[in-house]
Amino acid sequence: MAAYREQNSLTQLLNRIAERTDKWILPVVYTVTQELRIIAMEADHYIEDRMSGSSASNSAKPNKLEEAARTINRTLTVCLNDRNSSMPNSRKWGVYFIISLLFKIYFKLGTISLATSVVRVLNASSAAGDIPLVEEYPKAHMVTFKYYVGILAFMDEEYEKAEEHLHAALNNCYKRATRNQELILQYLLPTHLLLHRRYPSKAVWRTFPRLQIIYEELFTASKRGDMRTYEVALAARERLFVTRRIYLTMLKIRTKIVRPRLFEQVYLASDKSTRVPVSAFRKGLEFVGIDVDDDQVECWAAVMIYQGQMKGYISRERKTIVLSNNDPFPR
Amino acid sequence: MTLSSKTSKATSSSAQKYPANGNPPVWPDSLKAYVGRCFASVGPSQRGAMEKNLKKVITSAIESTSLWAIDWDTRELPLDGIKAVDDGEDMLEKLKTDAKKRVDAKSDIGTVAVNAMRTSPPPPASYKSTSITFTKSDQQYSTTNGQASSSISKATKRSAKWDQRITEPETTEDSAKRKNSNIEQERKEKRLLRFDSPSGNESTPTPVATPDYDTEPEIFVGRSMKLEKKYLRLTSAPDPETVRPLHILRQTLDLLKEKWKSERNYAYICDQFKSMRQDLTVQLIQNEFTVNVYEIHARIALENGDLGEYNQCQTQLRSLYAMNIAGHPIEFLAYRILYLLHTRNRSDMNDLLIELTDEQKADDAIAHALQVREAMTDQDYHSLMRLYLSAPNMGGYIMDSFINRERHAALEIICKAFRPDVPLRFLTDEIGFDSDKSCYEFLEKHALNQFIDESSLRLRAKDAYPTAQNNRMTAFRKIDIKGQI
Repeated sequence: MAAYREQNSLTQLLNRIAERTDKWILPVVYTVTQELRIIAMEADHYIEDRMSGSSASNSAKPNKLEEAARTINRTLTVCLNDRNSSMPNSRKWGVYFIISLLFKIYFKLGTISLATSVVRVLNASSAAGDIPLVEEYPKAHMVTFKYYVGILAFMDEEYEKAEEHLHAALNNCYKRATRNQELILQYLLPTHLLLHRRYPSKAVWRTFPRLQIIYEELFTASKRGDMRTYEVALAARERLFVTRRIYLTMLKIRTKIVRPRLFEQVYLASDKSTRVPVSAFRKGLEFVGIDVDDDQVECWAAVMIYQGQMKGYISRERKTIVLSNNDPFPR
Repeated sequence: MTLSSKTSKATSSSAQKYPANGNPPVWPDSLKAYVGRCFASVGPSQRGAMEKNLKKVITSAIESTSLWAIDWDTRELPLDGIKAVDDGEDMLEKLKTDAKKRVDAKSDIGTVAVNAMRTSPPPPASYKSTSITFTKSDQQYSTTNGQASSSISKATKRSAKWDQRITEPETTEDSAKRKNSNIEQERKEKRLLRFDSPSGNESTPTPVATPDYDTEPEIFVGRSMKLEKKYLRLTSAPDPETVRPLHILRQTLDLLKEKWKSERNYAYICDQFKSMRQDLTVQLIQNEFTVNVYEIHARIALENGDLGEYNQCQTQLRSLYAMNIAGHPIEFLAYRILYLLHTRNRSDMNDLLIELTDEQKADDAIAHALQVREAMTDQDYHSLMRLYLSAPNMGGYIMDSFINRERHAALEIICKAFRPDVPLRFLTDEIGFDSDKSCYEFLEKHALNQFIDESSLRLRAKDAYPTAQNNRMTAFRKIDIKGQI
């Protein structure tokens, strides 16, 4: 606790000193802020332990990390608002390091909205040309930054943007930092699947056994349109996906990838006939344990046609789905 | 009114230190302010009771020698047994009886003061500050009631009692302190002038604490006895005379529930509930009753499609539930999920999903709301409309706010996917209307009826598609601009 207090006031002092210096101070700032984050987490653990020991639940929740985040946010402002020194010597070179640090804290705290607002501030200054391009910064800064911005986009279901940032992060990631690559891929793999129906190769599973445990079963099921296996595997991993904010995307994959695949299987099973009765699809769903009525099947089919995963139309009169002659299930 | 005074909790942070010269100031300043707050918080008729309670608190503090250790600034007021009953009609009646009671109380306090003097520190300042406080209110009170005589007679009694105290031995510190306190002396003289009671009070040279009347007390209890009150946004500190205390508010709630049942005048009810919420807020009342008020208001607002008011209630309810005050957190959590769907707030929804426990997910209303969420992201209009028609509690009212938007989305999908046409009957089912007639009216309102074949009652899907697409775009754009209501 005392260590935290000291470190926090040290950072605050350093913020004031840094205001009057230029780039040379940055290594000092990095070390101090990084340590502040770690010590703040330690302090929170300590408070938590003590609280669970005593039954007093009315005392305040551990909030040292939040406090530390405010201090570090101040550091960011100090770095951003360097108006004196020329660009090569500017404190602005510290911006992305500090932001990445803040992201780490905000994600830990679950205050994603704060992370989004930091991005907004940053976008405003980079649009005004106030800071160098992120590509000109040290790669380590850039990779971390891109990783978090990618996840933010991922959570907002802006998958194209997510893909772009995560790709940049992965391509610039140090090749032996497999843990970091794994983290990036954790979000990039479902993004790829959803956008392009692209599946990872066996090599990926070999390099990242943890990802294999998480995703392989789901991806295989999705490839085969096996909704039942997909559902079961998803339910087993629900907690993990929810806390990592992947769950909603996995649900999206279910309706946008797995279900059309199932319909395609039915189409193939009826010898690629262009006229498939709705009941055939219903039976296909029944086969994988999904028991619904014809109207529900029509609704799902309608959504697929609307979204372009299936080409054709539904005849309400004949209770038949008329598929296009030419590539009814486009990739 | 069961705010009980806690047993003295010593907090070192607020404990003031004795001056270095060894002459302790008689009372902590924070205590003086505390006493001031106590008297400001009760109506004139309750001052006697408050005085008794205060006496108890202070005596016990002296006895446990924790007088300087107690954090008076944050201490709860001793409101035991104090009712804020104060009716305009029998004010005079009360004035008389109270005056009598107070005389009794004072003689009691006299002896307490004597007892307390034997332990240190001596009591005069506290005693003075308490008497000052109610003397001041006496004056206000009597002025408003044209009862100046009572205040004078009280002043006489008081001086008699002071005399009694003067006959007790004084500690040396006390007199030393008094000699130094020129400012206090001045203040006291002012006070005497104010009361216009010169009777030998100059010879009672006791330091006087003047509670600050300009700053509003932190906690107070209203004195208004009216059940109904129009809502007015506060632009200054609240006036206790127009604020209703808790027990009156309870009656108000019953009255409003009755009125809502019989009259169903939403504008009136909403206004009344807002004023109730305001009275609760300014008195810092946060208990099950508060939750009840917010829940009822939220439900009534929902019933009337007033999502703005509902959202205000919900925001408050969330923090009240977080304080573990009993209510219906699950029911309102389900509403919140639906509300977030309405405002399409993805990041809040994500946060909410992470915090959901398995236990909560097992609840019917929550499960329903989550299914709605899934149906909406999947654009699964078939499931969505079924969920809409089977929404538990008041969820249907929230769904009302976005169901039209989803109907347009559904119509667009249907017009895109079905060929050549679909029967009206089918549309009625798939976009969640309970009769073909209301479905037709909806289509008519959105210029889609022109594509319905009058004889067969079928919608020509291909022809209707551009219009349906347009409708959907308009419906979704509107909410983008509005966002959070």
